[in-house]
Amino acid sequence: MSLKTGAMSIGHQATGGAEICFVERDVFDLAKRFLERQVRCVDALWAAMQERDFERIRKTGHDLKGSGGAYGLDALSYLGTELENAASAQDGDLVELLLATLEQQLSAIELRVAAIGQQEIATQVSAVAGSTT
Amino acid sequence: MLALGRSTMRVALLEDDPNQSELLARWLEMAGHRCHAFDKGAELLRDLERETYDALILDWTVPDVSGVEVLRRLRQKLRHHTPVLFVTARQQEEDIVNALKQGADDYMIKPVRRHEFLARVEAVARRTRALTPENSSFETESFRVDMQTRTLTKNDQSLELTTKDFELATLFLRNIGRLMSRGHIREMVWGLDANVTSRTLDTHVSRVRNKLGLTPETGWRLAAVYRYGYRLEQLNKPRPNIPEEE
Repeated sequence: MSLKTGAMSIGHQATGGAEICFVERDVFDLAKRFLERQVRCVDALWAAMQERDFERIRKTGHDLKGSGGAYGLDALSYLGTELENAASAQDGDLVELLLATLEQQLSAIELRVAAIGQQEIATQVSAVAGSTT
Repeated sequence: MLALGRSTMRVALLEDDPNQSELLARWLEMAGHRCHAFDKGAELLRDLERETYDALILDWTVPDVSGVEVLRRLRQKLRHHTPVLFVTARQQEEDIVNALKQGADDYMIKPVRRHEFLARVEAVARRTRALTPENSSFETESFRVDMQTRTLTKNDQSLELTTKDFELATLFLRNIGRLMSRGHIREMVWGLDANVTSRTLDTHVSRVRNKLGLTPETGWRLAAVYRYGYRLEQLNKPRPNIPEEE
């Protein structure tokens, strides 16, 4: 199990094909809505790709870069950055590859309410870090 | 859920991405602050002509008027001194320098993290005004406010105040020299959802003025700014941090 201390997703673990993300209770509803929006957004991005509307793809990538990480989903933030760059360069092949990756990533994410607080997670991370050095 | 030792702030947020906007607003609210979100620069500028905030959080890339243009107009045309924190995905050095030169007080690159974000918002607000924690007692000239017993004394004489009058008086005494909009006052004293008429607000202000003796003869003026709000002035002292919209 890997642990991380994001602002919202306070830990995650990969189990089989699923990426389980632990989210603080007070923002869980927002995280859920965020993921639902991203799923709809991918459909819109495929449509934008059909029309070679790179500006729209660039803007969406830009937003994902900012919001993905804030929700503690760093992989989405990274894909947002790559999408923004590929769209700026009008590289259609790369955009399609990134959209397919994003789609796959979104379908793998499973949100769970974190049962422990950030402080405890941080303590565990320190303990894990200490035991591996 | 207001953390002990913190002061409630009224914050305006300019952010066009709903995912980001909802999250930042929730973080602020969970920390006990009040957040007003805008997704267009022009809307925020219009609002700032009649409202005051303790801090502004601006994204750079938003529809119509960009965050940096909002900041430029705010500082140059409106001479608005509200502290500004930039929260943007733009990370080029020239962008950061540009925002700071236009008058931003701090700059954060997205993605932002909850506790750092809240700490920075509170830090920029603290830099431009004495942000006294809400549960802390304080003194100013002849007034002493005891937040534990919720009493206000003037020259060691206890004043008889209703709960709302006490809160209103405390708000003014914490913000001497600062113009505060009616919306700002209403929200800080009566809360976000309260339906308080202008007349009710004026009545309370008038009562506070009389009970505290805030008159030029005593070195104070609780001035009404037409269609905007109120400002408590100490007549023998220069006014710090005053927007000049009126």
